[in-house]
Amino acid sequence: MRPFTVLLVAALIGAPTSSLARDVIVRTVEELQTSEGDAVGIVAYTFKASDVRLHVVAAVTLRTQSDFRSGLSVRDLEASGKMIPAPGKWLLVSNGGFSGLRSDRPVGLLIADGKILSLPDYSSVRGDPSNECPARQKDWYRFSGVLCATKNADIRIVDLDQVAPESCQDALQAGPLLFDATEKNAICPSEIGKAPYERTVVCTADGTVSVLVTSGPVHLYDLAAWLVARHGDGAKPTALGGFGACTHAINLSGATSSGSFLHPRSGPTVLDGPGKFPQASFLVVRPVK
Amino acid sequence: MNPGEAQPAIDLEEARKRNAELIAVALESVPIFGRLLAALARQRRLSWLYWLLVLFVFGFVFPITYPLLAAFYLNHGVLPANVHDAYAEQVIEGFEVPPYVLQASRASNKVLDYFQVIEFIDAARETREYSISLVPMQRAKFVVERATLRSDDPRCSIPPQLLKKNAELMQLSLFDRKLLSIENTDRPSVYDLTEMSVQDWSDAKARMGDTDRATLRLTPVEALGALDCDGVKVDLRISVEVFKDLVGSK
Repeated sequence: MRPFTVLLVAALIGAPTSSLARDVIVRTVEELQTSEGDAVGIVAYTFKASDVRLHVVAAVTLRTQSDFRSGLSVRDLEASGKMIPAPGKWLLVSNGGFSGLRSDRPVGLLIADGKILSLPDYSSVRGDPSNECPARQKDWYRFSGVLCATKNADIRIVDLDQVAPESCQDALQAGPLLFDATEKNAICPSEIGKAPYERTVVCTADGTVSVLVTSGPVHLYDLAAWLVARHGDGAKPTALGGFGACTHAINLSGATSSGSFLHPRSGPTVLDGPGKFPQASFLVVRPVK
Repeated sequence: MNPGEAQPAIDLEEARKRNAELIAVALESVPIFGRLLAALARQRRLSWLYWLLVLFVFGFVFPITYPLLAAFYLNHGVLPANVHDAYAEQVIEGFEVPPYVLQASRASNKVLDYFQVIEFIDAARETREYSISLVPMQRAKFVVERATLRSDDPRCSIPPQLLKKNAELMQLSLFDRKLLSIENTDRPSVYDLTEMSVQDWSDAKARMGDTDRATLRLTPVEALGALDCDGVKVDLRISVEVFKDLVGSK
């Protein structure tokens, strides 16, 4: 078992710990030591891609006329009762990608249940060849990655230039990508100079998917380093600790947007993160069986 | 003193003293500073004032007075007509702005006549027309700052062929003449009317008639035009910069 980990599965999913093998989602509470010396809690929901269906839901398809003005945040959605599991099932919802001029207008690719609801956003930022960080020497997309749930129920995190949208049943463009299969931190150390925020991140590795929500502000550089570092097997110990279950990771909308709720099979709903800001889209995870 | 003897230096000094005394007496009548100036004059320490006056007269009074006097005399017929004309011609040529300065002036006239933004989020399958103020050959620039598609109806999907990078979404035309493709791209698309040919302008002029109104047309691509629902919206922002200059065409 990882250090700093508290296993809450039994209480949340309504199954005894001994029957974990037949449960398909695990909620753990991790801890990240930031480079500034703070400890930030991170809730991680981990599941196998083959055991779940990951959906992207556009906020405009959930809203009614009465909540048109304010939009729907993660907490609003939980309180509205519009997103509840089938009897005897669980349901996980987190915030989705970024918004445009209005909070209900998604930025970038959005495919929900096979319907294309928003085109990819190819806006880019000029690179600076003299920048010390290789990731900033060439032009880069403002939203560099796509979370894609394929039509054959695989879940992938793909670079925007390499995604095949037609293969996605559900897809969400966001970014930046925190790292890819090379497990090299794709975030520049200079990012630490910017303001930290609460984060929602999705990471994948070998058919396993984790949705992570931080309980406090954290720099993307620290988060990427923590996600890519392994611990327990001693392969890549770092001062920050490490999650070590990811080979690809993507940052979703953060700050007050960041949030999730889990309707367990039994017991009270669990809310994590601020989840106060109206969203353009949500991630919804349901068990297949 | 005998005739032919050198004038003694003391006389010159006396003359200077008398001059200084005369100036001092004159300066005593100056209000406020009169006594001070008179004292300085008696001590013969007023050379700075002298040079200051010279500088003032030659640097300010003369330049102002001479053209004024010249204009006064010319206007009152002091010179005969033929001399007057020759004189005036010389003056005009002398003060004429050289061609390169005129060119710079013309270039600086390339300022906005007006700036207009076409911005909307609306059904993508519709063709739209906008009337703008434009005279034939007037320089104008169109910048597509944002162009994307979004559906607010899950039953109305964006055509999948428009997913690829740089996919053409709409066309911008001046009357029937296509100006540019509006694409989903990472850079703003720009079209400058200087790229229009003489024939294009001739056609546009024929369509404008006697008015100074031109029609901009936004036409969706075939895949959008064929949609049978209004849920797919185009989110578009085009800036129209119309300049004061008339420009030569290719």
